[in-house]
Order: sequence, then C-alpha cells, then structure tokens
Amino acid sequence: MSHLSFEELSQFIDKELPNWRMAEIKEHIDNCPACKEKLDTLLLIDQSIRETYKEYNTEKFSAEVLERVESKPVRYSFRLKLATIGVAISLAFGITFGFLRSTYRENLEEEKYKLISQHYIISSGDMGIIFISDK
Amino acid sequence: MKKYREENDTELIRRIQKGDEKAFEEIIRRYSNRIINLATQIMGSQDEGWDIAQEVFISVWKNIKSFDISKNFYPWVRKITVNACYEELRRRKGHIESSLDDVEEGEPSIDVPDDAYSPEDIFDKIELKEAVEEALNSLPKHYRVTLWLRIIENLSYEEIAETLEINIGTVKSRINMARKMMQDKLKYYLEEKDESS
Ligand SMILES: [Zn+2]
Repeated sequence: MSHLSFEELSQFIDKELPNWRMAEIKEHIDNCPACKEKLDTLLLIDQSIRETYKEYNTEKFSAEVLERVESKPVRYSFRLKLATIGVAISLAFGITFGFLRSTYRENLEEEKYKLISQHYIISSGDMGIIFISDK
Repeated sequence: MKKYREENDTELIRRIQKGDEKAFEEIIRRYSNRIINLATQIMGSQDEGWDIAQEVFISVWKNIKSFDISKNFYPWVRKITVNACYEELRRRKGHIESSLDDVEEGEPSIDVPDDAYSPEDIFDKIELKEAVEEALNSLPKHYRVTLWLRIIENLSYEEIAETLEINIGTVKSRINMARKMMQDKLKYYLEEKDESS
C-alpha cells in the first residue's frame, strides 16, 4: 500500500475526485497515521486561510458608493481613477474579449461560429447579453 | 431597511432596476465584504481592493437594467470583479492582453520572495494568522486568487476555470502548487505547533 500523494490529498479536500477514489482515500487515511498527519496539515492551512478573511467597514463603503451614484461631485484620487479605468475597460473589452480568446484557444474549430455570433453581441455593448453568452 | 433584508436577491434586483437606492444599499451590504476581500487578494493591497470594489458596485448600479434576472446575482458581480482587477493589472503592465492568463507568467517567478525573510527571524514573533497572511501575500497572484476562489468562495474547479477563463488542469495544478508553497512557507510555524501540542 503506497502513501497518498500531495496532489491527491489536495483534491480529496476539495472533493474533486471520483466517488470511488474518495472512498479509497478515506479508508487509507483512517488506517495510515502518516497520511492522516499530512491531511491534517493541509486542513489546518485551509482553515488558517479562511481566518484571514477580513470584515471591512461596509457601512462606510456603502455610503461612499451611494454618494458617488447620486452623482454628487467627488474628489477623485489617482488610485480611484485607475480603478475606474480598470472597470471601464474590463466591461467594454476585457470580459468578452478575454472570454472569446480563451474559448478560441480551447475549442478552436468547434466554437468558431459561436464566437462570431458572440462578437456580434459584444459590439452592441450590452453587458447583460455579454454575460448571458458567458456560460 | 428591515423589509429589504428579508427580500431575496432577485426581488432586490427588480427594485434596483427601477432605481431603488435602498435596495441597492442592501445588495452592497450583502456582498461588499466578499468583493472587497476578493479584490484585495487579486490586487495585493487593501486600498486598491476597496477602490476596485467601489467601481464594481457603481458599474452594477449603472448596468443593472441589462442584468438577466433569471441568473444568480453574486457570480455576476464576482466575475466583474475578477475581470476589473485583471484588467487593471494588465493596464499597469503597459499592454492590453486579451486573456486573464496573460497578466502574469504561469509559473512562480521573481516576485516570490522565498528568501526575503528568514523563518527563524519572523515566524516565532508573529501569530499564525499573520504568518498565513504573509505567506498568502507572497504567492504569485494567479496562485493566490485560484486558492482564494476555492477556499473562501467555495467554488469547484470547474467554476474557477470558468471564472478565470483557464482550463481545469491549470486550476488543479495551481491549487496544488499554491498549497505546497503555503505549506513550505509555513513549515517552521507548523512544526513548532506540532512540537508544542
Ligand atoms: Zn499513507
């Protein structure tokens, strides 16, 4: 009986293995202290990452957003300007174009016609439609 | 505000589509923390995460009418966030690439400060949480965000692949590598814990 690999333990935690393999691994872990220890370490790391999740001041956040949507004059910081550009470009090109290209890469021939039709949708600039096309 | 708290996303979105700011406020209350956290992970800074998250919600407000009400709201916002962050990072690199994957080279590169700190110097002085934050922050961005989507956003590999526009094999290997790197960076601390327990 060989020990479990790091990869398999990682996928086991994520429940990304077929059921039969999940069951085999579970059984192995129940009977192998060495692999159990490795698994516990990985679980501890995951748990520690969960604990880095922060609680922000969402009331302040919300007030700032609402102030800006009510189109009161806002003092734009340089940082904020950059963020605006980021979102704007993303909405205009990034989302769809990025999606198109990655799809293109993966399903070169198969997706050809779909891509063409999606491209047509993009040029209408309708964000809702863009997301519908993004499966 | 109380009545809004009891409404589901779809009901709120319908209200927002009619211009209801209170409903919008409730949606912000529901999701802004997750969005700020996510944007912070991708951008690598809380300030920038905060700013991008604001832009995301403002664009939600402006574009909500075209949102398809039959879809789930949060995945849509999450996708906007990921794209906005990557777009900003790409812009900073000085060129527009068309895939999220082009923002950063696939494999760990010089920005992994493995030798930037000595575990002996630092890890015995700080708590696990700080050590984890430090380790997480030192991961290459792609690895960090992939792991974040798995652990915090609880997405499957397939959902991560769709969100980041990469294939499942890449998701698998990034998560695997990210965990390995985390374990490696926290080795000293994890061993200490074992000995003391
Ligand atoms: Zn074993």
